[in-house]
Amino acid sequence: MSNTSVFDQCTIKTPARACFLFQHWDGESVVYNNMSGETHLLEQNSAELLSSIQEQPLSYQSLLNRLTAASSDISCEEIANYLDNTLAHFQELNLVDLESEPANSN
Amino acid sequence: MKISDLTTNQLAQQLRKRGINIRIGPFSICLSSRLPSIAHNLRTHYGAYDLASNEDFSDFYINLDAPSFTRRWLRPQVTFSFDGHIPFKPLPQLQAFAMFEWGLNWCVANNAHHYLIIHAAVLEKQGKAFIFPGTPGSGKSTLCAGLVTQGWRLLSDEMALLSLNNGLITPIPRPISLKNQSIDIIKSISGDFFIGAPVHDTAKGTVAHMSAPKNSVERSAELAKPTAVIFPKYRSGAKTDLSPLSKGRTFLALAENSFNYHVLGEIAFAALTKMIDQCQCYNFTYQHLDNAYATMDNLINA
Repeated sequence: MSNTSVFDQCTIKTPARACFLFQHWDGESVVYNNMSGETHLLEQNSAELLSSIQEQPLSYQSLLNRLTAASSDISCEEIANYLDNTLAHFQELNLVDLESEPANSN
Repeated sequence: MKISDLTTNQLAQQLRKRGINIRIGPFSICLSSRLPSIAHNLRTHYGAYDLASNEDFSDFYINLDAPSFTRRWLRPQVTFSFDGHIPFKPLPQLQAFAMFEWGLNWCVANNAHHYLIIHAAVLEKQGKAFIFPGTPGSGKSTLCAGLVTQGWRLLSDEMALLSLNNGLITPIPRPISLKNQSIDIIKSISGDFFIGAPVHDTAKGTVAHMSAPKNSVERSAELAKPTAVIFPKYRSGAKTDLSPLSKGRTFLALAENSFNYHVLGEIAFAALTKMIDQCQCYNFTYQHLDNAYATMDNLINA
């Protein structure tokens, strides 16, 4: 990839004390955020990504590797774009926090 | 004992002195008023409802009276009070009964948090309850009144009370609030159903109330299983169209139409997901009521 993501060198995690509830229907998901009381409609793929982040904080690279492994027929660039857009959307909705990784982090 | 067992004079006397305790759906309402129009409209629209003893517990204590002695005669007004508080500005006294209806909606919406309350009409046929959420002007009450004339059971014209413990809808059948053009439309087809005198120049335009069917009132204790959520939209010149709506979008729209989703939080999320799981969800555009009846009957029989 030629462009570096703004999320590179970051660990992505859900906000402290946040506990999201999920319900999936036909490729769509509703997500309840106990901290804000808001409910969001997401694509199921995005919601599953958020669920993974809720299970444990993940580095950008780790998320990218997971998505790449699960989508063999899509180019790396497309996957990176999708991940960047999804994470930006999560940030707008206050569903994730970013933490800069230490310089020696994997 | 039912309200219709009292004469209008007896009812007016009780309302003036100690108030009366009416059973409306799952609630007991202790109502007092010196206004003759309240006694008259109660007897007309709530004749089939049970009167409880005044010693019984009441959920809501409501009073409707003139705000001051002079306001009984000089440009007469009415004030709605709930448990001694006055949540609204006075209205012209001609709107007293409408104010009772709106005020009671407010009492339920702000206090009955053992239900998830959705702004919607609910009607039932063959054991299947259809929920019709509606924004003003959507044609919800017109469709609701029309279906009632076709024999559907009225659970509510205004609010779906979703029980949090069993996922069923608790009926709260009350007069259907018809507005503006829908008054004449429903009058032309209402047959034996009673529609009260229109009240003009309210915040919602001209308003008239159609009494709930006696049979629906008598079946107030029969809870119903929700099986469809249908967002109606009246549109002049439109063809009848029933289009599937995704469950996710239905969820968001119902949460937005709910009076207390934000109060109940996770409990509401769980109750709503469970309900939507078992419902078919649609957008419904209509112009002619006859076509709307046929569409709803097809859904019931599907």
